[in-house]
Amino acid sequence: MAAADVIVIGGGIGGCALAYHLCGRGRSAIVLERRGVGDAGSGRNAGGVRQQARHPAELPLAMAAIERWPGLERELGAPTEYVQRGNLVLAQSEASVRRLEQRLAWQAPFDLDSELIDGAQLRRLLPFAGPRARAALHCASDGHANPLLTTAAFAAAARRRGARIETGAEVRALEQTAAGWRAVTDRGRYDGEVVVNVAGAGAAALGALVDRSLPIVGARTQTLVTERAAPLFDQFVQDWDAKLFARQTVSGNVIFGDLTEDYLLAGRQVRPADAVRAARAALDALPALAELQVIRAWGGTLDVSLDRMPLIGPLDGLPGHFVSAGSSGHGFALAPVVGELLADWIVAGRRSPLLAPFDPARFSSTGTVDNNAEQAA
Amino acid sequence: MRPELELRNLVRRYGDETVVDGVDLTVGKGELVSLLGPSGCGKTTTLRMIAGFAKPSGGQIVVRGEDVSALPVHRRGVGLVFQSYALFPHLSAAGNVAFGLKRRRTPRGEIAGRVREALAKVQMDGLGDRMPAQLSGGQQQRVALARVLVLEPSLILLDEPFSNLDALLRETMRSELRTIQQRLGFTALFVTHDQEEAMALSDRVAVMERGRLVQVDRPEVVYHRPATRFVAEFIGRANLFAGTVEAAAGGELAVRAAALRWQAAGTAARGAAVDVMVRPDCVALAPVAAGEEGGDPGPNAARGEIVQTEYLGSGCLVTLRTDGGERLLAEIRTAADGAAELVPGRRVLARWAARDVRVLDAGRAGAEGGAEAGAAAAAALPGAS
Repeated sequence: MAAADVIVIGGGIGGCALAYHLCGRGRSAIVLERRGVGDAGSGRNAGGVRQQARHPAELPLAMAAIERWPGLERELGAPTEYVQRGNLVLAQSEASVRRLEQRLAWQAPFDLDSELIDGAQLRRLLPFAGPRARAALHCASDGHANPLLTTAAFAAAARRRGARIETGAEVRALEQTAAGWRAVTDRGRYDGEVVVNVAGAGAAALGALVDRSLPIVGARTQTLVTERAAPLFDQFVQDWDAKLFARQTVSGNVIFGDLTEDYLLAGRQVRPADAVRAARAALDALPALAELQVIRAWGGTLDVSLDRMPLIGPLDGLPGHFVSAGSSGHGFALAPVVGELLADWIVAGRRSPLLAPFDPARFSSTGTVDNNAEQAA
Repeated sequence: MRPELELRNLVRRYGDETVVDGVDLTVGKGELVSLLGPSGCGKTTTLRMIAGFAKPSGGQIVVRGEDVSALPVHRRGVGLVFQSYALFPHLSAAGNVAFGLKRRRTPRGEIAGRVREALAKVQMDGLGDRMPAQLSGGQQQRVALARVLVLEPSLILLDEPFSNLDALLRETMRSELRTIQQRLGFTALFVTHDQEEAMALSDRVAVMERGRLVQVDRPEVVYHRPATRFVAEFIGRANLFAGTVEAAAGGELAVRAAALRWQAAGTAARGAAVDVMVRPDCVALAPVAAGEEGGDPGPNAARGEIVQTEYLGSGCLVTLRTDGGERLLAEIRTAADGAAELVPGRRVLARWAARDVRVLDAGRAGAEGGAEAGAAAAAALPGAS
């Protein structure tokens, strides 16, 4: 049996960042990861580090995150491949242009450097864009990073501060003890005063272990990687009609994927049908990608919540039990700041107002925020 | 004097749908103009185009003589206040007001003073250290206004800024906004669907219907001299009847609308189809005693029975059924002599003056010219321009 002040369940970027900040505040932490660090969503997501086009409830948190990203590589002492060269959200249809305008109006109170540009302006910024994009939202202070390297950087930095990261340790049971919580795994038992569920798509199953229903499901995504190419574009690019994301890494590979989420399948396998769909999306938005060879592909799992906003906070009626999951495909950029603010909350007992919109209790009462609101309207 | 804002034939289409359909509007320096209309009329899209959140499909947006249509939001020199006051939750009131100054690299030494001044302008002196969660809705909206004022824009756009506040606070805030706007002299365009708010606040009201401006004028003109039937019905209460011109001479019209005879100023051809309107507050009521019924009450008058009374506070809204079967509204002062006698079942004589009757082009076949409707709809600067 092992013990620490805090047991963190989930060795993704959220769990590793949390452990890193807990240890920086004089607390001991053990991270329990059922497979390997960054093996699920954290190592396999699009890598966008973006403020714009978010729900206004999440935007201040994203802006706070972007203040931390430029210094992260130095702070963690390991590469993140962070590139702050802008985010472009392309729109081909009038409906998508309207959604972009709506997002721009939503975010206006926060004075973000985001603007709506027409097709000609877009092609000056991104000559690589295909002919169908008619407008785009551009935010120069956004960018992208390598999610697997960033997760590994947090894990290594957490270990240096004394955190234990146990891989291959799947939690089978969670028991309340006199002093707090006990996590039971195949590899042993772990005791802590506080337990934090940062298990991504596995968060709902962990919730079920303590009789709590967390409205989070896994959704599969498909990603393809091309051979290395000369620099083509340096922004993080999304297209809401082609349902595509794309970025070019510092080594020249273009990583792209399909934003369509498949809720019926989870897992890391590559399905030819999904790969073809992702390739079609790429050719629709960025036809010049046709010239590049695809050298690798992977599937990944996102943790999508009912209102597509994260759940961050304690669970009702379970003292010392926190959850931080359900970031619904836009959590990678936020992880550095969420880990820091959640560590503050656990250590000092004070919630940052930036986390207030994400109280898990919103699903047990009224007053939800809904990131899909304008689609329903 | 050069106008602060000019919209020239502004158009916005989404696919086949034309949401804003050729809007021309000029707003003078220091003027507060409301863009008023029902939801879906295009007022929010118009505001978004001025702010830079949406690209016009056609036309021009000119701010202080410069076409800003191609400029991004933050280069337009336009301040924005929204329905959602959306403050940074982790920054104090002062921190929120300072945010925009810091982004614009204002010298450090200047910031504290300017923030203090801006908070004072919205009566938030001494509350700069409070966090948004510690402030009431009205105080948060004041901070949101201070956040805009501190940047000293000469044009401020307000998008239904008070619609999240309760009724009493909304009234307080709109009168405060008016006071601040007049004291500081900034130009403001205020989008609202609330006609009462628009009337109370504005130098001029621009009424929008299905993507077009149908009337731009001072509140009292829009109220008493509506340019169209839509304006007459959308702004306040109206007694509105379809009728036919029976005689026209020397700028005077005689109109028959249902069982009522009307006299009013106007020009239209004999036989033309028109709408006639009189506001309920221009209709006077007098009780009719038994045996005083007499014959024809004459034009601009009707006898009838009170069917309902509704107290509005200072006034009372009385619904009559006229002897001809028309439904007629009269708004009387509760404190007026004889008001207590005006109860349901009572027979009354209703009268109104010819100068209070508005004759509108009904737009039906046979109608000829709009009885000054067109002139009132022109979007010109008021008086001095």
